[in-house]
Amino acid sequence: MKKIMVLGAAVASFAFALLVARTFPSRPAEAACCYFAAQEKDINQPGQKAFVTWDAERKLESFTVQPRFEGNAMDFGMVIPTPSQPKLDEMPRDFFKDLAIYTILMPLPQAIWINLQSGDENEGAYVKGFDPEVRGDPRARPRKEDRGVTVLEAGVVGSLDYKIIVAEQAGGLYDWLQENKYVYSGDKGTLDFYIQKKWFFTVMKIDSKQMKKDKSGNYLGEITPTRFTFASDACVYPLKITQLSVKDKTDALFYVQSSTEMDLKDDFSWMHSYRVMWLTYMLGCSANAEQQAELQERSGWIEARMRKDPKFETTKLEWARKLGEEDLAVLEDPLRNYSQMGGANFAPGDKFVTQEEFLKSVWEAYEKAGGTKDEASAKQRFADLERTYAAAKGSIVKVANPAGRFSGSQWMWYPNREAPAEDVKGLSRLKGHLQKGQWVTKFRKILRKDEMTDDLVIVPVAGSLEQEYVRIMPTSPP
Amino acid sequence: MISNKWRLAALPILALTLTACEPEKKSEGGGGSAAAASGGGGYDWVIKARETQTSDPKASSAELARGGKEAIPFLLWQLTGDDTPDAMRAADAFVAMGSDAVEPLDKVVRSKAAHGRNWAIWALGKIGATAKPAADGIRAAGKEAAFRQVAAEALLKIEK
Repeated sequence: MKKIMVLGAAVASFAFALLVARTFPSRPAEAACCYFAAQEKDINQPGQKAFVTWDAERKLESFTVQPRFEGNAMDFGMVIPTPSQPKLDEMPRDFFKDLAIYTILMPLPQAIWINLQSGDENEGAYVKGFDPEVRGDPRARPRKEDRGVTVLEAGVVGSLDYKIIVAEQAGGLYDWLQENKYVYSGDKGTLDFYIQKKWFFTVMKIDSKQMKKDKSGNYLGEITPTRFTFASDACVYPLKITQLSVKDKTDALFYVQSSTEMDLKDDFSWMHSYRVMWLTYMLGCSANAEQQAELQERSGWIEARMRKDPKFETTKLEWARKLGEEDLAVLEDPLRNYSQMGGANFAPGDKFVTQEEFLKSVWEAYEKAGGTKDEASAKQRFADLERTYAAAKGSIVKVANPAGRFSGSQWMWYPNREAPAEDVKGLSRLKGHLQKGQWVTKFRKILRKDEMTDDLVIVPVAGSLEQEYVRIMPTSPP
Repeated sequence: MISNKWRLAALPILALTLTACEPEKKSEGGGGSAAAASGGGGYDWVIKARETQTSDPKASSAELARGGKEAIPFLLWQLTGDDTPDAMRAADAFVAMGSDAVEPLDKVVRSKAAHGRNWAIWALGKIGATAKPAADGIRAAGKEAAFRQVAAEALLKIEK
């Protein structure tokens, strides 16, 4: 059976219906370091962001989304289509912030060169045991309302009041939404698109009993993320329903957890930009003939695409990893394990050493070589080493086979990635949501309005092409 | 009543008696008595350590260790100074000293000294299981980013 991954449409429609007519002011640019970049690009900016899980074997999908709004809660509403009736769960309030911090890229390792003599001197998010046949509150009976709309389930999740409905025709659904005060800024044609596919709709608005108000009576703005879990033949992101809400373009950020690395299809694949970036980097380290040929081919494809459509933007891969013990160890003891991702990323055979062992080794080698007449200079250079490669800033690794490495150095320096301790501590909230043995793929696509004529499809990456991406590249993606 | 003649005669006898009763300096732990080891004055171990420093650095550290408990204040001063090669040498000497070194090193680990706490932790790790009384102090220091790595390594060695 053709495996087509379809990611829950609710994310897109959710975010857009939520936005209504408002545009959110962007924050001024902050410092260029990774933490602040993550705050801006991953948390504040994206017009929509989703954490998706896909179980191809059980045909079970979930996505988690977090709406933002400002102003009057009466203006807030969401309409989220899914291919089957979803189960809704509240997620941790800072879920997306935690994901952003967790997936900050690590700095590249550097060779450490020493010469004291000469002075020269690097689960899943879906619920276990979830039975797709058991949905919602069993005490609730499906209730057919006017306009051909049937309410299957009603409830509250977090601060949101929701109903899960099916509809017979778009006009009826559209009127029902208006009458029941669910804000929907799309058109009937889009609703019909999903009705024809026999999808379900989750409609949401703020539960006024849950939200605090400010002095002027407006609701104060943060809504906890909501997870939708549902059976699905494939993993789809319902882009179409959000099209009408987009003025010009939208920034969509996805975290996808599945048994394989995941990607968008065809022209939207992140492979186009990522492989060019990676191969360009490798070229500096002597790419082979096959890699050079691939670089030429992919660069050519991008150029041709942009000649045809000058406004085309490639999808950018931003982080990818098959989670192992060490990655999950970050969630168990974040302060200890965050900076080097649990130490999982050293080259095979290389051994982590403490700064003390490193310094002893360096000084002993110096003394064995007879030292120098100018010991004061040697000590100064030694003190510089100690300061530059301080234990609090990174890890020193003794290379198993220096001759086999590009740098040829016996020592490598792995700088820490950094984030405020309070934010790092919060990563333990991701426990249970990230699963060992699963890939987490993070990618971002700037979608133009005219690119949103159909739903997005998410597909697995072929095993031979799976590639982890956890360290900053010195080159930028095209 | 004792006559002055007998008092005067008693003086040398008294002196000899006191000398004979003077307790012999014993060495404890891994270090030796400075006087006994050097066969001379109480500071020869320092001079010998300095003499061998350039030609045989490891022997130099061993000489410092032979200073035993007398050497501890000097070694602590070296350990907590800002000259890292000297601190490393002192750390080596403490390791050679063994169990005698645990208490003073523990004190350094728990202190607010600007330098040397990492070397104290390192040395305790090298001493091994004998340094178990210092484990709590190391664990507490390990909460600081600067000591996290060396503390983790030391505890592995002490508690295995």
